Amino acid sequence: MVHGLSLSVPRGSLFGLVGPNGAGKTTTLSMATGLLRPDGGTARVLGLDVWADPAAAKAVMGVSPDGLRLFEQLSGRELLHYVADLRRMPVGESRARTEELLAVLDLADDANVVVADYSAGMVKKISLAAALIHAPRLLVLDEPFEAVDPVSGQAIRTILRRYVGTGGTVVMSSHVMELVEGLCDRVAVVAGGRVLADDTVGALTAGGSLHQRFLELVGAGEVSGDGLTWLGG
Amino acid sequence: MTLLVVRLRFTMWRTAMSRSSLHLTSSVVGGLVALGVVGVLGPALALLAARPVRLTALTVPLFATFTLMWVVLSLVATGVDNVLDPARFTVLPLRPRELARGLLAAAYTGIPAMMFVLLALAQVVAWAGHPAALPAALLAAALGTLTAILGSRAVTSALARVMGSRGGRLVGPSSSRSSPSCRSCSTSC
Repeated sequence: MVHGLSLSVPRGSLFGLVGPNGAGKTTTLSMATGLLRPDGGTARVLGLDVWADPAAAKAVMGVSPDGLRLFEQLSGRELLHYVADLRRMPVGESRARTEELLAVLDLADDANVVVADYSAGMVKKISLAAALIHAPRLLVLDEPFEAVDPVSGQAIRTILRRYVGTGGTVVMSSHVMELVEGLCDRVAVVAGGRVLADDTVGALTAGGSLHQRFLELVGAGEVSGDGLTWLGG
Repeated sequence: MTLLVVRLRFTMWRTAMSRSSLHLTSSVVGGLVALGVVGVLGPALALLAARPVRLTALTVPLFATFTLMWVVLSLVATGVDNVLDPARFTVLPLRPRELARGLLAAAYTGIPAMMFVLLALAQVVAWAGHPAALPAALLAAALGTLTAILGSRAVTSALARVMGSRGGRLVGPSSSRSSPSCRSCSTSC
């Protein structure tokens, strides 16, 4: 559930969206990317009204939602080929990019394995590759680092930073505050379907850690001392 | 684009065949059963042409029953692999109309759909002796196959959404999200 939530992401920034479970992060991203029709309000992406022409907006976006249903009966390589073909990319270009993406994301050895047999981290990576293949100007990623091993995680960080360096825009949600603090330029804290804070990472943390600031903003209660006494007793 | 969606369906189908012998067996058995049904019902329907008009008219309730049965049966069958769920195309920049065309064409390529088209044609043959009724029979064949295929797609997709939702998972395992090992295991969990 999301109420009167308003966010704007400047072009060329790496924007982090954080919030407790059930805060409305996935809902917000789904409505902004044309996956979930909102009851009201507008979503504009690079000057395009998402809900006036979803296909045009989706053409300039790369989206990797959480729990995206891929064509999991395809192998990793076939999946990227079909996604590129469905996006009407020239075949030569898409085949070359497929091999590059598989290599960078350490999926080359499993390129012929069916996606249904992939581990959770591998699914995240192939989903990211599918979102990148058409070189979109905006990337929207839901928990892109979840279940991804540290080596691939580093590769993804490098890809995202380089992408933003060349004028691309990234919006990502995450639960890992340290990651958002270290990677993102701007961050928005969402809870209960509302925006609690929206600022640059430096201004928001103001010398402290994002972790601490986040807990203050969402009003996290301490686990009371006398609770769960049976645990470990 | 239409051709691409059809090709996508065949690629996924081929992979599913090569990965699971259960899938392959069920497809072969399904294909044989379909062939048997068409082999018996098709000529039977067509032979109604030799009868008085009153008996030939039996094609109407028969074909209507096939249409309805097809929608119900495909619900059971496609629950196994609903590869043409439009939800899988949501992040792609496809206009609803072109996606619908592709999915419809792909839906016609399955064994059950082929079987249904053959039965529809048998129904046309039954009316071959009546030039006045022939155009109506042809129209009925076209409308009947469309109704059966669109009806079964609509019902399957609606059910996939329910089964994929939180409430639906309480009722039964979502076939589309279940793990491959779950799909190929024959024990009832």
